[in-house]
Amino acid sequence: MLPWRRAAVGVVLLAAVLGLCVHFDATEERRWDSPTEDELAADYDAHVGERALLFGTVERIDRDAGTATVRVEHDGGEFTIRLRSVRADVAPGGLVQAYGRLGPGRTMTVSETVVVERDGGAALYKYAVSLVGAVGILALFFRRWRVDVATLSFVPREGETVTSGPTADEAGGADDA
Amino acid sequence: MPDLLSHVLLAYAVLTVASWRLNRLTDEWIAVGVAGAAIPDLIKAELLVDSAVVSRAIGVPFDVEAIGTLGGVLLVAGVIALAFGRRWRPAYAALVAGGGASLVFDGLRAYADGRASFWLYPIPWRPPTPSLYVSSDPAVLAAAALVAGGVAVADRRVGESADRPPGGRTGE
Repeated sequence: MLPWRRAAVGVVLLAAVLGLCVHFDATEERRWDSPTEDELAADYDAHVGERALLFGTVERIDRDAGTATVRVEHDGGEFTIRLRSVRADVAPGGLVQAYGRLGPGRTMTVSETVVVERDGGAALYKYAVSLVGAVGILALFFRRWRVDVATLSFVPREGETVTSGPTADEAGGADDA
Repeated sequence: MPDLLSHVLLAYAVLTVASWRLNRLTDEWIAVGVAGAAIPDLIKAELLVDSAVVSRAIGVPFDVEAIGTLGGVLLVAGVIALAFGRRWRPAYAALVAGGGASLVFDGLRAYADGRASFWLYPIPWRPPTPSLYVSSDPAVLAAAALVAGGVAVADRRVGESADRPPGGRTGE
């Protein structure tokens, strides 16, 4: 592919990615058949009686009473809602999904709870392990590929060392080198 | 989604098993596919810049989570494939395979209402999920590591067996 064509295709694809992110957000309310966090933040009372799926950070929990107060984020802010009939092993700072029916005064009677993160530390675990994954990808990738400065593209390292030998018949995708 | 390391391990396992049948799927392309498995994880850019902040800055709705969907993987893989010059076609195929594997695994995670995210977007449908795990569960990583380890051992055996041409794998 010629350099200018490659740049043009790249610009078009990046524009498409941006467009996808815009369309995804613009059509969010239409996709969900239950009210979204943004809709509840805008006008909670209009949705009382409806079923909703909420993601919230636990602020307080009373296991004996089966109630919890969670903080729900939305575009441009957050609100709190009181959950009833919660049966979940979670500590303040933890992240839960709650599915249930919205009641008056920002309450929800929960029929199903999923504990995504038991406490604040669980997220840290996830990011630390993800970092290891990122390093693993780079190590695996650059063991097989290098940057060719002349064409500004990745080229296989294969064939550069004596031990690799001719593999064009088997390598398929690499045979157009 | 599970952590990135689980994505990487599972994509490695899937692509390596596929390579036992597909001779064109060499170690080079498996490495590219494993990198593709990270495409849906690019939504973690939100840790640095929140989508709502971007949205206010550019004045239109914006949600980077679109990248963690089928449409997002198909487009972002195209951008990355351009970095492979004339080998962009196999690169694109490998990237989509790896990214697609990650999406499928993401589609198995737990949702309180029993339906997964809109990972098939632009198809506006939430497929049912078996709710196998939550994203921060260390058991996911343990399972992924076991599967990948088992496949790596089996792959060595396949590589040694006589019915497989020696090319492409001798760099091990």
